Amino acid sequence: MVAYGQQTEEAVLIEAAKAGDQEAFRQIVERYQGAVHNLAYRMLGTPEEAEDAAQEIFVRIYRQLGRYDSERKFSTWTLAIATNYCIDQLRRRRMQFVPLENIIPWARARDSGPEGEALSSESRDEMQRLLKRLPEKYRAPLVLRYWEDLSCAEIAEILGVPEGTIKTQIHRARKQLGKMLEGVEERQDALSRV
Amino acid sequence: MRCRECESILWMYLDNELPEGQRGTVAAHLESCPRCAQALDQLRAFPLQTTHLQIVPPSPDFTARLMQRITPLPAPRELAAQQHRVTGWQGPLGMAVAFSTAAAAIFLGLLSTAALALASGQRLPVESGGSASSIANAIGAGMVIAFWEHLSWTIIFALVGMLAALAVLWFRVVAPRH
Repeated sequence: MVAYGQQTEEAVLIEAAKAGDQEAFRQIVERYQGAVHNLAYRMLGTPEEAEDAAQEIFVRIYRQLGRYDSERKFSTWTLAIATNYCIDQLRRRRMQFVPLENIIPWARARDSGPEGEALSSESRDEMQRLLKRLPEKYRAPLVLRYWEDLSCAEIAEILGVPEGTIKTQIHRARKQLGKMLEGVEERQDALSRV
Repeated sequence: MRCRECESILWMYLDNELPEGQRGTVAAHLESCPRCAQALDQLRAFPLQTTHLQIVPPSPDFTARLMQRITPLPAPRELAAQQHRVTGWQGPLGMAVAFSTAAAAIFLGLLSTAALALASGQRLPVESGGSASSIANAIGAGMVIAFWEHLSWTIIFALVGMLAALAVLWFRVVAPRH
């Protein structure tokens, strides 16, 4: 019942925002800025880029809100706009000149060395470092599944690929993360034995 | 069960997200397949769970800065209506116009090339003279040659047609996004 209440409250906000009530839109932004910013941060890599991207994404959401179909789940619609924007940015970035350390982040990551186990320390940077080493195509499914808590079916709808492909991509992404972590642990073991 | 199939649901097996039946099938496959068992170990090495993951929020003045950009904009409904008016060429009508323009240009190109070929082709056999059948052959050969000579006209008309089609597609697809 709580979920139902939230849904209708949100529907009222969306209708008001569509008609030009900017206070209603501000409240929508407050609700979703965490999710949208986090998605951009995990996909693009740096807080500065994430902040700019999130701003652009919300301007797009405002511009497209008039065409939002209330049959769709608003959160999925919002995250679809955000994901497509980030994928666009990554594609654009590949065509531009970027500093070497952005292309091969592990070169820098290895230098500073592994500080503690990735997840037990819950170090934001460690997770971010591992994510950056993942191929770009695995990032969107992984972030949408675990940070944004979407189902595989919803992710498949957002990215326009079959659900089976999403499941395989999540498998491969997690397997690679496991391999990376094993590498970290092996080095730690070697260090502790010395 | 094949490894490929196992690959896509192995992480769901690890996270206890599979229905009972599928769970049993995966477990049986893992007993007999060392490769998939190794993959499971790798998955286990990185226990991705929602409870572990932090959501990184934007800076505190995020909403205020955003609303500065939103304030001058008209209501989303008006924006949607404007886009609808400006892009009247959107949809099947625009597509039909684009393609028929291109088709018409190519047709005109071919027509003019054929006409030019006919005009110049007729001159050729008169110079060569000879019997009626050889004249007919020469007209045919001359027209083929003349057609190729005037092919540049076809290409020019076809290019114009394609440019016209591209222009319509630009207004239809690319411009409305900006």
